[in-house]
Amino acid sequence: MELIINQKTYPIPDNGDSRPLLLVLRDELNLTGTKIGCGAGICGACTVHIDGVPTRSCQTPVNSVLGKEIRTIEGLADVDGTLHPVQQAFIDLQVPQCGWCMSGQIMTAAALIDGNATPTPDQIITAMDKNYCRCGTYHRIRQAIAHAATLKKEATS
Amino acid sequence: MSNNSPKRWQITRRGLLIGLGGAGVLALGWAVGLPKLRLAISDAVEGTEKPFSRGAPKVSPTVWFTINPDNKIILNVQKIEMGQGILTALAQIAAEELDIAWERINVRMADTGSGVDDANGTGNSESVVSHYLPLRQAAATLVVMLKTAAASQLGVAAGSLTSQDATITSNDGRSLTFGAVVAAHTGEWVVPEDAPTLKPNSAFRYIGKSQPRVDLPGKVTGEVKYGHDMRLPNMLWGVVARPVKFGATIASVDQKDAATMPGVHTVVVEKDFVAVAAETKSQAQTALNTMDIVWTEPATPITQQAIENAVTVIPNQGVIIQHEGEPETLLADNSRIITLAYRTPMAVHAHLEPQAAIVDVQPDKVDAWVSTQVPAGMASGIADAIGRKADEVTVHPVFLGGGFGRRLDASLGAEAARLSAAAKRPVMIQWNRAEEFRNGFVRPPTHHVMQGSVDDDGHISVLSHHQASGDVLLTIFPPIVGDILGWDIGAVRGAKLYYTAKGGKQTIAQRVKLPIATSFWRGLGLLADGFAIEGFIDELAKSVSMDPLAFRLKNLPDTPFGNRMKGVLQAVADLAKWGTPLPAGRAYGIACSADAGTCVAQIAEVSVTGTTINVHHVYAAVDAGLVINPDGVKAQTEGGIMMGVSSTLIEEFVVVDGEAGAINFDKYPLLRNSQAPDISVVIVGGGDEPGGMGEPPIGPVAGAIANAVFALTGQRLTSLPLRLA
Repeated sequence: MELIINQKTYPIPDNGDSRPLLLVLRDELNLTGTKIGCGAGICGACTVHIDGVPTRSCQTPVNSVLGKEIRTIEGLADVDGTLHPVQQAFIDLQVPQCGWCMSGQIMTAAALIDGNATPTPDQIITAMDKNYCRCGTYHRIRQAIAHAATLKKEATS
Repeated sequence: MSNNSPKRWQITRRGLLIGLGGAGVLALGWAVGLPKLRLAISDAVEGTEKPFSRGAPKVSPTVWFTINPDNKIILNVQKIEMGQGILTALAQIAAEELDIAWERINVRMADTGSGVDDANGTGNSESVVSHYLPLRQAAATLVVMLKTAAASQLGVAAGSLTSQDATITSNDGRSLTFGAVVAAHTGEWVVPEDAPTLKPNSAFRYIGKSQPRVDLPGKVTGEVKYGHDMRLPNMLWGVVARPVKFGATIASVDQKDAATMPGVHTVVVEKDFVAVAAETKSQAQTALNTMDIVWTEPATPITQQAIENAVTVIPNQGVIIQHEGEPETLLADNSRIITLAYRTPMAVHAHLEPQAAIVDVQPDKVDAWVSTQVPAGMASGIADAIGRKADEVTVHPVFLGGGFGRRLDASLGAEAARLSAAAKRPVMIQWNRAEEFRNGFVRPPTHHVMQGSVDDDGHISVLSHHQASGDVLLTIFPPIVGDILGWDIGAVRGAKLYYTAKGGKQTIAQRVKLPIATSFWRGLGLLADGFAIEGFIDELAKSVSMDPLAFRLKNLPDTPFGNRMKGVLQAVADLAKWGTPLPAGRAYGIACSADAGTCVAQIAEVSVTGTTINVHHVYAAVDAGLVINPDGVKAQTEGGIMMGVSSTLIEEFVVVDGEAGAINFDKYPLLRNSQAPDISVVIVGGGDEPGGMGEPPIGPVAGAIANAVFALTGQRLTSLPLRLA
């Protein structure tokens, strides 16, 4: 079996099971940027993109994503190291505290602004409402996503 | 780093430590303690003692500079980065006094054994407080020593040298980098016995500035490694049998085929420890699930009702921990006495990174990577568990995905160590969310009886706080300590009354031993005590029809401490425009508290939809004395507020059928983004000493929200989480 992750192909053993993508990423491929929080699809720490759609990798059977484009936090920045506007905005506004939920927050937010260049405050909250942050950076997350949209607009204009 | 670490230490007359050995490297450190600002607040409100500080070794040097020949300057600190920005704050302090470019300093979390370990761990809001002056003095001493050595190397007088950005220059234009001076130095370093002159505050270029966090670039790209992310070659995955019921112990074990199942390497069955190590985590779990483990449950089932009954104030029980004037007389005689009882529930930490440990037990040494706030304590715990000496164990600190007090538990590494010792290979144990809920410890439940009365002129005449709480700090001591003391220093954090009561005031602590584990949670008793005291103060203000802000300002003492409290109250009132009308359906509530040398006041703006309480905005004023990183202070204020809002509106851990009522976030939800208020923070005060920031901002939150709900609805809610009738 093969997975396409961040535009690279990773062979993985076919155990004939439907083990979660998250555990394959973290425990088999050592792509530990994607985090585990609850293992039940509630907290959002494990969010990755599957064909551009933010998806809970802890609830995604690995055999359901064969041949699909998987993107993790390790593949979000450009290959030259230029950060995604959401990553840059999260640094600019000094959003992360402990940082454990941040891969999930950033992947969720990146999918939002990649699909909607000018999200409204309500759209931001709706998109981000299922990603827990125990350190309590919620309002900085909201501000940073608005800032990221501005950064993206500046970069493309 | 550890290869460069000194193996011997010399202590100078002033208590400064200098590392010897390790050619071409100079290392310097200092003992740390709590300065007087923090102690003054402790005396005023915290209790008679500082939870971690008394009893901990006073000579506990935790601050080390290492200068390498390439002029790289490393600050090794045994403080753990768990989101509070401590690495950045300590680097700012060090870079300031060394007077070097920001880019030149590299701050690292130090391994245990690389210096003298920090026995206090990371907690108690004291990392900046305890390091501020010692770090500056060590840095200044280091510069003096380097100048003295450079003078000798250049053949000039030390007084003629200047130091700028880690380069020492003589007045004839020759210069040497710090690294070059260290590399060329021969013989013993001489530590000056005179205390160095420190930079005047007016010359600060890093202290007081919002330097960007050094750990954030790696946190937005996924590069930073946390405990749960660590992997070792040849590592096994371990799982441990844990009870579902509180208080259950292992009665009997039938291993069945566990030891011969695919991938299984080692099965350990001991009286108190049943665990499996296998090549993959699922193989280990499958094998453990195969085993028949019979548990002995407690003779008396543990129920939620029994816990609440136990945690109930009983008149004349407990220990008087604060007593002024004659409160008993007034409480007995005064027909105007108002009494309110408050209750707070148990809560989990819900650190989003489940805890994890890799331990590699080798014949001659033990290496461990553990998600812990207490590396030194963890090293001892591991050593004890496997019968090794503590100095054979090196705990390598890792970033923490949230701490909140949960990772002050030193038992985590022991089970990985036991399994590694049996398997003779490195073993990783990762907890899952259900284990965190079932088998960790929780914030103790509390009950408070508040009593008081107010004179016609608006002065408090008598004030009494009787608190019943499960243990916090006593959990980590042998039982006899609690039996002798009779009260828990941690549980009463924030319990003492800081308002003036003309006739007298008292605080009584009633310790309750519970059958489930309770211990550290951000702020210890601070959230619960703030809820009870500040809610009750609002009720007293109402009893004489006074504005809650004016009532507080009138009844805080005219002391330096009282003036700081009034300062934050006035500042938050200005920020939120207290007193100006709000839109229909909105109301403000105000509260304040003091902790760890820091005074905080908050105003919450709420509305109500049906029986749902919405918190729209929290305004905060913070007086943390001298501020190292203003944005860091704001971030900690925001974080404390959000965690407090979550506790105030949502969180409640209950026991159901003798087990955890929730084992994941479906039944124990946390605050979500749509429920999270906007937050505005203003920093006031100043001076020469920093206060703590990790915990103080959680103190006023529940009180401010409950008081706003009262202002809006007339309902005086006295239990957390707040539930409208």
